[in-house]
Amino acid sequence: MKTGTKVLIAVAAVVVLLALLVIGGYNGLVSKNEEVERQYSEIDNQLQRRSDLIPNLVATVKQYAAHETAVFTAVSDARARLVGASSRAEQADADAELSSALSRLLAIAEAYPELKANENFINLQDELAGTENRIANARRYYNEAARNYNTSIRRFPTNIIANLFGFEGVEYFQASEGNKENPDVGDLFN
Amino acid sequence: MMRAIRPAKLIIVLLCLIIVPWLTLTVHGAGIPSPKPAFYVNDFAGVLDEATEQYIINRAAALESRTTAQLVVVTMSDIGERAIEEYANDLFNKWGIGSADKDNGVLILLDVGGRQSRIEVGYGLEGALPDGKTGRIQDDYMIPYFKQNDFSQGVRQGFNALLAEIYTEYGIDAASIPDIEPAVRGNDGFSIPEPIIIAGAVLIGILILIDFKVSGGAFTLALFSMFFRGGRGGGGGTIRGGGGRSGGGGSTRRW
Repeated sequence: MKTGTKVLIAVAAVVVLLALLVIGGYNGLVSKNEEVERQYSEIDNQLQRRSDLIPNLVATVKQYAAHETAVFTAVSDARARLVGASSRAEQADADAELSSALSRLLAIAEAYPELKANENFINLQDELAGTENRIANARRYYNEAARNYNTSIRRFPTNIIANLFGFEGVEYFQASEGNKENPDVGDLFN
Repeated sequence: MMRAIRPAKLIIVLLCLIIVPWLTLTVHGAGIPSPKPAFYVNDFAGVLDEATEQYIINRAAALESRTTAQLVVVTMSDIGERAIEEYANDLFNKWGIGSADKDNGVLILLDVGGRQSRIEVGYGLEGALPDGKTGRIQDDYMIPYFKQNDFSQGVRQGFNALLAEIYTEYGIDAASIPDIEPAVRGNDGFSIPEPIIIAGAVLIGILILIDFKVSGGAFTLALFSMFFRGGRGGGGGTIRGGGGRSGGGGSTRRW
């Protein structure tokens, strides 16, 4: 075989390899993006679930503490803001606000022993805590998926592919600093 | 000769350049221990007695073989800085408690140092064990014992209550299975009065004496061997999680 032919074969091999890598990189980005959206829909589900629990919880607390109107208003305002949120950052802010309003609502129980001992209240409290925990986990998984995807977009060589096909970064689900009431150490790394 | 090698070298260099950036490792679930070989009981805090461990291992193995569900107990003396909810979820998913297609795992986690406990439920059992029910199980069957530092009883009774719920979910009445104890509610501060314990011990001593006088200790030895046979039951091989996942269902209690 002539040297020229060998070089040609080598170049062809490199071209084929590059084409495979572009396809692989593209598909990788698509599935990472899919994962981000899947995790996001889980957050959305759980936010919805929590919204559904609130009327019941408020009604139960009202039976014992009807005059604590400020807290009820704060909860319903935050809930309305969450429904009206248009971006993920806004949603995260409204979510943090609702969490803090709800924790104030639950804290009322400390002053009303009968409410605190009410079985329905304890049950709702557990359901709510469970939902908030699911939201926290979903947020964690979402941010992880989002970071993974965003990193791929910026990292060589997938950044070339991302530019070529117009992949854009996604927002993290994170409340802005002022709204973060319980800074979670784990969240700092997201 | 030299000319012919160059393209090959070029390819190798290109390959390295392209593949290396892909080799990134994500460290996941740092600080989570690996399960013990028996899997169902992982007493890292060393607060459970041998009999309770064996009881749980045998019943959990039977549960898995009948329903594929996995019910796992973990005790820790310290879970570090993280919230118990996050820790429980990471551990659950890292170990893969429950089967992969049904996600039917349940974890009882005790943080003895932090005086808190959590029941974490896999996706597939969230219907049978809603958060509120797991909270009630902890309130009724576990926390009263934990308050008296009786971790073995608290874990055992919580385990019994969850076991019955899981069996019910699979259409099996736990009461129909002979070697499962019905869960016993704990009540704060109540314990068997000492005279009764002493009387009971004396009675058992007399019965053993009679047994040895009359039948050469046949009953005592039979009971003894049964106990030890049960003790070896869980020793067969290493059990693993089935790949079940949890999204954070369950409840947390502090005592």
